[in-house]
Amino acid sequence: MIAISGLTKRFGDVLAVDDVSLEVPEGSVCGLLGRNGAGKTTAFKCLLGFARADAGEVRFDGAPLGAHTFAKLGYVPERPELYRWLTVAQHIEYARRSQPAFDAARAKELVATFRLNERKKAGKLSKGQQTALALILALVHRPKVLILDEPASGLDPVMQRVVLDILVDAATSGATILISSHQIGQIDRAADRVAIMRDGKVVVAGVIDDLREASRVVEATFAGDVPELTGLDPAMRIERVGTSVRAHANGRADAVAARFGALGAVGVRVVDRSLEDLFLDAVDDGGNH
Amino acid sequence: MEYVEILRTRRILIWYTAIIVAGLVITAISFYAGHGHNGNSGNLPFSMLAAGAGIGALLIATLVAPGLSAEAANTTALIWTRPAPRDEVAARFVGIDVAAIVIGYVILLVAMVTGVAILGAFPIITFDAPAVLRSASLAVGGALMWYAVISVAAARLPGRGALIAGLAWGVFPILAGLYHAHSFPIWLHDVIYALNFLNPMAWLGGTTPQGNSSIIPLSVWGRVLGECAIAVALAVASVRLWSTREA
Repeated sequence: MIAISGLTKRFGDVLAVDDVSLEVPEGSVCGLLGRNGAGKTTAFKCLLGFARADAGEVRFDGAPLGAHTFAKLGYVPERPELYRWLTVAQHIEYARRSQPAFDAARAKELVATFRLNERKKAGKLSKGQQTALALILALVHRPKVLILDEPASGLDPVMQRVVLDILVDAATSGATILISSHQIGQIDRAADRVAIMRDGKVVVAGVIDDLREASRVVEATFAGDVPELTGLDPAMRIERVGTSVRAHANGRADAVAARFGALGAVGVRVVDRSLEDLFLDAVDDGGNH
Repeated sequence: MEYVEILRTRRILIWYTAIIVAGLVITAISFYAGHGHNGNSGNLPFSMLAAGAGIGALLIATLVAPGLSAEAANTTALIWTRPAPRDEVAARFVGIDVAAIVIGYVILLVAMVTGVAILGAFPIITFDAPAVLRSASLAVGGALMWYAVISVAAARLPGRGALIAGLAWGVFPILAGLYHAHSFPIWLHDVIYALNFLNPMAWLGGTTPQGNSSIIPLSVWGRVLGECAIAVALAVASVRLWSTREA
């Protein structure tokens, strides 16, 4: 389990990570979304101790970050960090020597899955192959915690699917995964939770299904003027356009739809919202998306 | 973790040795293609060879010193996500680099003796154990100090280690040379003198019958101790700076 509380990181006057709190339970995949510059990578750096947080705390399975944490943690950075002059096999050997829990069979399996030539130097690999090698290095010790910053960037669609399958398998085996990506479809497929960052803050966080349920919209059309909408939560956001009404149901879509029916609506429909809609709503800073 | 540094220093030593061997082969060919005879007169103290081999140690120190800086530039995500304390990782790097410097010294010393033998002058080598030990210690100590100064300067400058190592070959001799110039105001000369305490070249130089030719006013063994103490202090500082920096 990853538990982040009050994480704050400032660069001069810029608050890059602003009081971020987030919990990713064991066996869960949490997608971290946000526009460029939202603070995702800085948050990852603070999580991993690459950058010193100004405030806050991070715990992995209840323990603070230490050298021992990395025996069960795998990390894939936004840009693959490899030794350009070392071959794929030498990178694997590096992992074997530096990770006590190195699993040789797993390494072989992953190299085969990504179809990497073990004798090729990292500098001669394509961007996608470099990403694949970085993933292999993060996975060869069967980590219990995976932190992935854009892990599928540069991979072709087939390999992206392979990566997602690997992540889902890892989560099924009990791994806790925190993954950032701009490809919302990937997060939608692999993650069960999401956290959306804007200007260094987590503005939305939770189980994706719950968030979707809470964000369902009920649309109703009336034959004439819209009647007085009694019996609805006064705090509910309601938009009226002509003879139509759009209500943000806050998790009570079915009840709201029934109420509109009772008020004489001639047409009522409940609109499910996609993760992309949730994301765009969350990062909306006044029509800039 | 040290696997990569072992590969890096091995690669450097292989090239270094190959170039030295090529030099020896060229020497042999040109010598035997010519008259192939040497007068074998006079004597050649082995301590001179032991001092001269220090150039090899300085070269290796220059080549291996940027290692941690290069790691900081390109592979932090790899090296800092291993289950070992960062300062331990850096200390192992330094240990391997020190071993490479000593190996580089020995390789050049052996090559110099071989070169002398190729030239047919081996019989004129004289061996004075205390002098050899002094020269070798001073040379290796200077190279370790050279390494440590570059390392500490590059510890917080990711990817700039090679540049700093290259600049050292200009800065260190110039700084030592400035000490001998007397056209500066006294205060500036004092500053240059103080700076020379961090200049490995200032600590080198022999002790001749005419006196101590080094800028540092200490005996040879005093300078050896000084070089090693500064090298250790700066190496520890570079390890600390590297392992506590932010990526």
